[in-house]
Amino acid sequence: MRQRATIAAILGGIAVVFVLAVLVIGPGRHHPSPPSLQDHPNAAIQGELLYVDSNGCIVTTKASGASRDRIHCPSGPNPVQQVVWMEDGSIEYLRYDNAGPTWIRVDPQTKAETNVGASGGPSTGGWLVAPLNANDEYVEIRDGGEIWVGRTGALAKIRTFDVSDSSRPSMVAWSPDSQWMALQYVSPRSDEAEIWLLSRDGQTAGTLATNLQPTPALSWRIEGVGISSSPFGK
Amino acid sequence: MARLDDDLRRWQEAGLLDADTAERIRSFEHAAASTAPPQPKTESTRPGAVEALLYLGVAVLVVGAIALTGQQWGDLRSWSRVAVLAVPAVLSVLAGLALKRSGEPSLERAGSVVWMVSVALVAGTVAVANSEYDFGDSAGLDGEQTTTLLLALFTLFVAAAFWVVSPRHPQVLALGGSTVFFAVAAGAWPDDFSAPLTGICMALLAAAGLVAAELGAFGPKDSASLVSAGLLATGSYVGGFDAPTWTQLIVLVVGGALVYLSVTRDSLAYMVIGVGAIFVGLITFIFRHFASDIGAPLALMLSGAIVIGGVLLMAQLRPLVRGNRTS
Repeated sequence: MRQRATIAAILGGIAVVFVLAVLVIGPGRHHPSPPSLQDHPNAAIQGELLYVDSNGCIVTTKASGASRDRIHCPSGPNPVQQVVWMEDGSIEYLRYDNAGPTWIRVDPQTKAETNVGASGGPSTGGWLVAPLNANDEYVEIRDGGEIWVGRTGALAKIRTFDVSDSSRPSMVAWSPDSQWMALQYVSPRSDEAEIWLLSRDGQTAGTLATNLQPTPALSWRIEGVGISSSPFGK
Repeated sequence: MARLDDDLRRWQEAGLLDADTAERIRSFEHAAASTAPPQPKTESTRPGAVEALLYLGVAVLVVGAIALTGQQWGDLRSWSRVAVLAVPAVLSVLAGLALKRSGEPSLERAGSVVWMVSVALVAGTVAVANSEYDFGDSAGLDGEQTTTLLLALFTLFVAAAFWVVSPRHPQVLALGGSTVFFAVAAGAWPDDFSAPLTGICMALLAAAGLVAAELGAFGPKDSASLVSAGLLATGSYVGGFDAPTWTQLIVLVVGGALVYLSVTRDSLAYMVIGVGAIFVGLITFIFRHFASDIGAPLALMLSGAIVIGGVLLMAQLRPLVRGNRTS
């Protein structure tokens, strides 16, 4: 019995050492998220964003990361598919129920909801196509986390994120001034998403928000410049 | 003994033995037979057809219970999902203990099999409990993969504990199964599944098991050496996936080492596993690196030549193994 216990202890010891080595060395683990904008706000990033967190609540945040506020948590079983700023400063969100796609307007001050049916939402955009900025540039994300930007036939690599093969960021929206792009990243170790902001030249990046729902739903407005939103089916 | 007398008579008639020598051999063998320990009863030490059918019936019953539970799984609450596995796990541990204390060889064997099932039930219980209550999140662990790795380590400990108490073939099999679970959990820990990590983990533990088995400290020898050698060959093969080219040759080295071991240790099992590892490793290597250049037909022909080479190698080495056994 004692000899068997010794052998079992040796085998168990090898396994424990292996586990410790894996946890300490961390082979194959990627930590691609850029620094948090919440901890280190960047005043150069203009505007306000809307997104939906993992609890299904609509959150507004300064694009610089300086402040954020959970403004509304819609009730009902169906998740929010899209959220957009409207020209008058109100907010509309989209979800699918038995009647099909339904837009609901929310007054940011009173939180009162108004059902505006399927005809709501922004007057432009919204289709599931690659977002273009004001210069007709688009973003292509390639294997190895490479971010390429430009027009068709004239793409240039601006940055590489250290991501795994199975999870790379996806393009969500350009900022209304075309100087920044919002990328969504879902870690393979989590079902929740992050929003990264990356400058057009690729030099500056920051994590604006974590713990988002995986469906990209984001809207960005800059006073006096315009509104841009993530693509969605209409 | 009658067979010995016949042989001695023939050899005397052929002039190979004189009468004195034949008588000395006969006396020696009679003396050896009278001092040899009594042979165990075959009926009680080997499982019979009835026992095998009983195991089959229990297996079918368990599969039916699993299917029934699967149909109702969505309607069960968290605590009842855990209980569905935890209660049989506890009962099987107790039942195995009772069977092993019965003193009846067939019931003791059944107890070992029940304990082997216990390891699977314990693994299932902790996995379902973690899925329902997310221990890793409450413990601040970095992701589900870390929790799974620690649970696999726990399962390995449970299997090892059963083996310490009862070193039987089913416990060795349970140790092998939990080693595979642990190695796969290790490979699943990185962001993308890492076959090399799985292979290294499996081969490392299997190599330790093989050394222990050869030193006589890990047994029963038959199952311990078979499981260890099989996992060593599998680990070294799996470790070559998605890895540098040279690592794909490790399985050939391991295969060669097992063939060498088969000759020095008189083990046909080592030879079969070793030759099999070389065979699979070479064919995989050829198809991975040369099939696109030389084409599939030529790669197949090369593989066929390797098969023939493997068979001839076994044919050449088997007499060596037999020679060692009889010498």
